[in-house]
Amino acid sequence: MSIIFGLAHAPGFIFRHAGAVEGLGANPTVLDAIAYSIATLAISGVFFGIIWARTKNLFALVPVHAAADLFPNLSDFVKTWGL
Amino acid sequence: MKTFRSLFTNPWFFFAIVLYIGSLFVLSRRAEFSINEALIELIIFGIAFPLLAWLATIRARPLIVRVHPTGPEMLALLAYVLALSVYLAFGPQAIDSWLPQDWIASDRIKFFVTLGKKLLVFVALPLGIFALAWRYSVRDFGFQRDGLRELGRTHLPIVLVASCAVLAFNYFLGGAAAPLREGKFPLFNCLLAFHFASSG
Repeated sequence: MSIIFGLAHAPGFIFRHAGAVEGLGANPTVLDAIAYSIATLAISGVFFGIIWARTKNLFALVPVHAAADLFPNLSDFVKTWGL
Repeated sequence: MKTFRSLFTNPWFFFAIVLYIGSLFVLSRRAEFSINEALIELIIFGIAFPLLAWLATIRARPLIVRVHPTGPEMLALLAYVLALSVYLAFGPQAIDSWLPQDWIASDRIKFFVTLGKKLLVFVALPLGIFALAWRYSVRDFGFQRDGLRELGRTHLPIVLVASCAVLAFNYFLGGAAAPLREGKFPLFNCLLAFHFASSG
């Protein structure tokens, strides 16, 4: 499932140039986007997968995922809401 | 120990390792890609954090999930994930083009539009598909009242440990936390953002 989780992000690297903000570059080949999705994103899927497998509690995963998203989104959040 | 034994006898585990090594080999040709960073990420997210999660859940009581996915259900899930990957490439921009441009121009309205899109695509649609096709309930998706109760009991350690571990990683090693490290955002802003990150 972690591999599938990682692969689901590959089109974003190709079509939305999402790799520009990561270590991939803005215009990767299809093969590079797939490889990058497996080498980076699938790995973080393992961590979340362990938590799910051991608790079966979605409410336990929500705050952990929020913690992961906090810093990357903080700048936009502050700008949007004028804080 | 039983968990580790079953891991090392699982052929999918070795398939994943081969895929991972192959991916590193492919990426090593790119100048932008740092293999050292990828290996650090593997050690932290692939080994250290899962080990931490396993230790923090030794006393955790898992909730009872009534359903055990069958082959066709797993295929449906895989098909949905593939459809989702196509959506992630084109969908959000397509939806934005259909909405009033005033909404997209306003960062605040766009914030809620994005939230709505995520709830629809990642929660409501899969739940609807599995509810109609295989009679799944909200409970089978992990939304259980017992889950909220366990958050204050045996699941509290994993939430605290995992959240702190991820925050510490992002704060000390993540590029996105650089403005925070430089003291540009007060603690109140972080707490507000965390609240919205939890709901989105």
